[in-house]
Amino acid sequence: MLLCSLLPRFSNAANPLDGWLETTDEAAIRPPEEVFIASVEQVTQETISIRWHIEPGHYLYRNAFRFSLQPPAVSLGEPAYSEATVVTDPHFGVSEIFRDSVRVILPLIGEPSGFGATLRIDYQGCIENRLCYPPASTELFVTFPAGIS
Amino acid sequence: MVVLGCALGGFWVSTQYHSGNSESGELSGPTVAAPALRLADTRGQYRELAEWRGKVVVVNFWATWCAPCLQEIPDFVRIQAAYADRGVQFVGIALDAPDAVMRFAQDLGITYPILLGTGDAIEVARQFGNTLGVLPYTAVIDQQGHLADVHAGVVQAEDLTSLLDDLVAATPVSGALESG
Repeated sequence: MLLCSLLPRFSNAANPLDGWLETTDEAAIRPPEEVFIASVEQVTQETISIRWHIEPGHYLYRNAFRFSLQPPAVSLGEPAYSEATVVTDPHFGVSEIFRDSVRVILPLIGEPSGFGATLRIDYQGCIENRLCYPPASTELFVTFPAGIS
Repeated sequence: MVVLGCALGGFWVSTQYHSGNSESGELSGPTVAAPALRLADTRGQYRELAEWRGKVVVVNFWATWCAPCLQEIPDFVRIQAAYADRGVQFVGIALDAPDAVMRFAQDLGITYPILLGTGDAIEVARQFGNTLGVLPYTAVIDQQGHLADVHAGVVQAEDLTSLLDDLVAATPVSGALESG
């Protein structure tokens, strides 16, 4: 067994256990925003294209994605995803996951009001065979092309 | 000094035990008390960690949507059965909707208490050192109510049993235990 001799750092922390996880130099668990990174790839008059970078060893669940605009400048259609990996779990049955990257195309229904809006994306992912992150969200600012506002 | 170990594929963050009574070989426990918690079980009864004081308590945070969580639970069920007479008590804290929890608990054959970590469950997990709220997350509490180890991610059964062996050996169980 690999032994560790880590002394917790809790002298100044409100929670005496804060910092325990950070004390290890072994296979550090990075926060979700560092391993699942979304960016706006393209915005046209019809669609918003989002690209996710997924760090090696991690994956995102397709069915966990939710998208919304604030303010609701335009309605969003059903998202289209790049090809997912189908996995079968004895408890969940068939699931679709994304490794490495995923592209999402969000159709715009109607004409946007205003020049831009904040796109909120809810997502959930895991580290392969190790752990799962709780549901998380990220926000991207989307600028609509001139001429459609 | 006994340093309890790290699990491969994840990590145990260990407190250190300092030799106490050298004649009896008893080890004094670590100095970080386990957070108090009070959560309802699947029958709606509020339970507190303190009710298992005197036992080695394995607290496992899990959720039905977390595949790695479900992967390790059968090991926990087996270990609970094997160590019940040695003063070990598993307690699951499910961060999920009660109906889903009860369905999965039945499917997985969980025999130990499941507490429903709805509402501020992430905060409860954070109090156990789980700052990122990841699952599964397992904390081991010694007979004195001190945190012996915490582990983020799937636990290797042999590492857990090794830790439990150390802990149950550190303090005699006779006369100090209540039924769980």
